[in-house]
Amino acid sequence: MSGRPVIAVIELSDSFHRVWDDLGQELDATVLRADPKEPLPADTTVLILAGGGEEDRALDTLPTLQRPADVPVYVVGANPSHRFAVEAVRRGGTDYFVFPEDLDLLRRTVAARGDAARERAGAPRGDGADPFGTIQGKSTALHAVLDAARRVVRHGGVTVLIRGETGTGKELLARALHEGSPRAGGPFVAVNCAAIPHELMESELFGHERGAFTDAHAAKPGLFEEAHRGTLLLDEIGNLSLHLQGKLLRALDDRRIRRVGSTQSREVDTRILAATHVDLAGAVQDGRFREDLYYRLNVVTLTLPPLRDREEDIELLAEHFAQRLAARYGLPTPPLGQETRIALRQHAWPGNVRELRHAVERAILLSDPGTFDPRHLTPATAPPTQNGAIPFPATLDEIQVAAARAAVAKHDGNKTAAARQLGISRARLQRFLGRGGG
Amino acid sequence: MSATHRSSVFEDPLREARLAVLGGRFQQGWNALRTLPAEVRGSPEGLLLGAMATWRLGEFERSRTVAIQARDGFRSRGDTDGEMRAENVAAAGAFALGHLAEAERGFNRALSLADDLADDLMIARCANNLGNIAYYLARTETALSFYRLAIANFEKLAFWAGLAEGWLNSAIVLHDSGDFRTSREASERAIAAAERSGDGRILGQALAARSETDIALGDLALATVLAERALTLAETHDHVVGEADARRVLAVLARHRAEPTLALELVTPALKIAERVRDPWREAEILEEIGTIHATIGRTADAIAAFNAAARAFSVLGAEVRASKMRERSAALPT
Repeated sequence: MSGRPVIAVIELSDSFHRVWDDLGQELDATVLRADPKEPLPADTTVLILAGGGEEDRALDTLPTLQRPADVPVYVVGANPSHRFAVEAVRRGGTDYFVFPEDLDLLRRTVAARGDAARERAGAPRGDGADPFGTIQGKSTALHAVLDAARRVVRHGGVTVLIRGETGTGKELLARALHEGSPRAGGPFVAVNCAAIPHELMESELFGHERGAFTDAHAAKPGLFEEAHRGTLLLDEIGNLSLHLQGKLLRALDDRRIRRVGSTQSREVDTRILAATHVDLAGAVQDGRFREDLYYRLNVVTLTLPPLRDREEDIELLAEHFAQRLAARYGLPTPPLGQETRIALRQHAWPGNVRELRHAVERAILLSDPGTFDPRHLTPATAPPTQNGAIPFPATLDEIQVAAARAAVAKHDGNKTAAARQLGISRARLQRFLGRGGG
Repeated sequence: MSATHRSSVFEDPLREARLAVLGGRFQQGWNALRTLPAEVRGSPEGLLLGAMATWRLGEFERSRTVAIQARDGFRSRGDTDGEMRAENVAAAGAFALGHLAEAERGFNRALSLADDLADDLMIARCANNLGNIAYYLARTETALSFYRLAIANFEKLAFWAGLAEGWLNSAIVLHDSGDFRTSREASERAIAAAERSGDGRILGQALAARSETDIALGDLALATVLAERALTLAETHDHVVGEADARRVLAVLARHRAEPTLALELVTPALKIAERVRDPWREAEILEEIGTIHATIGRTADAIAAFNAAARAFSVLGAEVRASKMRERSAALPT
């Protein structure tokens, strides 16, 4: 027995047809369509009887089902009447779920049954699925990282430092490391240290007691506690103040934290994953990052390559996104034409995978259904001065003009400041602006 | 105790009302409660169910009063779980009535109790509500901090609709604070969570939020497609609040395309919706857009009237920073 849960579905109407396959994918379970007149397969974990407008038939079907006594039957319908729910349970249903309101509840209920089935089979939660399956790519550069990640994934307590430029998928990798670890049943909490003001960061991470400071009107748990028995990803950890770096180090060493304003410490069992796009070793040398914390975090380092170093992945990723996003918007998956493939290869993708995903989404939504027009990969009508976007595809000349305009816009028309930002003279900036016309 | 409602450990006189209220059939639940004898209806749980039902039926004042009675009843019994739930409903009543300070105190108390009880769902809900209050009071970082707490707890519970709401709220706050790229990321997370929840209503709202961010980033073509999809989803799911949001965003787009007549045509039904559902925040935001459209085409008197009305609507909620911004915009126009 593999331990993979089996969800048997009897569909009396096709109202919720797509939902079950999605559910199976999410829960890493096998979904099979069952015949109400036939006995259920022996390894069935749960049976879903989907009424969907055929509630009366569902009631009639319930007593006739041939199923082992320990297989729960979840009846799903659109009828919110509690009388119907009571009748469903009276006729042998284990529980009744109204769609779509109760979808989350059903998902959690089935997931709990699935986990119990796995446990009985002696398989760890989520076994059978590659936790790194969500990370797409076949390039050598990516696979070197994933191979290293697979070696550490089973060690649930090990601290990992993930490096990579913005948009390379650091959080996705962190989540996969969590999902593949023995902590997968616990929470995964991600916090971007760069997005939180320094003065709030301590309370954010460690929580606070009521009255700890002016705005502390109630006790509030911190994200360290929220990730208890799970994983806490500290993204852009280089942004932590030296003071907080000391506190973090103590929390890692003692496995205890103290809320701001509290005299008591609390035990926490939280695995830390850290991510950064900057050179932390350099920050240590400059005195901006504690050396002891650096070595504490840097037990294993995984460096995600930028997309420009994964050239062979660009088209594959674009196809993957095209398929997923077309499904999201209910559009046919468009083929990528030759012109699109050339355009994709020519761009440097400074925003990495995230930028590629945006570009594909834009093209899918703006092209005719089922087609992929590369002209829609980036906004053609929006002037770069409005949003700082560099035109794409573009010549070097166009990029220089766009960068000049974007810098001037960013500095509210102050050309001296714009030139300083670009590292060029004011006169040179003026030349670029003059070249652009309009 | 009346002879017809003699209770024993096997009887559950609140069962019908409880099933109806928790099943979302609020009028039915309220009707069931009113047929019960006073001692059952006036028990802490009876009061709490009544408060929940009347809140959903739009009777916020009554809901708040009854929830406070329920809270005191639970407290006197030492039932902390009941006290927390009643405190939360009382705070929700105060919030709907625009008493932000009282609502904030109530949600804070409920959050503290939820923290003591390690009730992840209640922590998430209270944090989400406290984030909304902080947003109304223009305390951006506090709002984002509460939303982060809400998101962490909703995610822990795999409660995708709640998670989508947390990310959607974050996206709105980030947008208002001018951090458009992070706002876009947050709205994308909201869209992904909404997709998993299967809730088309919140998916529509998340698409509208994403569209608004794309407008700010200068991508009007993409924003238009997203806002149109948001409107379709709202109409498909009879989600009037989502429809109001989508129409307002489409009006912003029409204004950007220099089509003020179309913009007004789009936004006027949105205002009617916000008025009908008694949502002062939405009403104020829509009035702000109406003022902006009028100002764009030189209808100064109409613009001033709209900005002043928006200021009054923001003031009702205690959102004084936003109200004073509206007054400034009104005062800046030539009379």
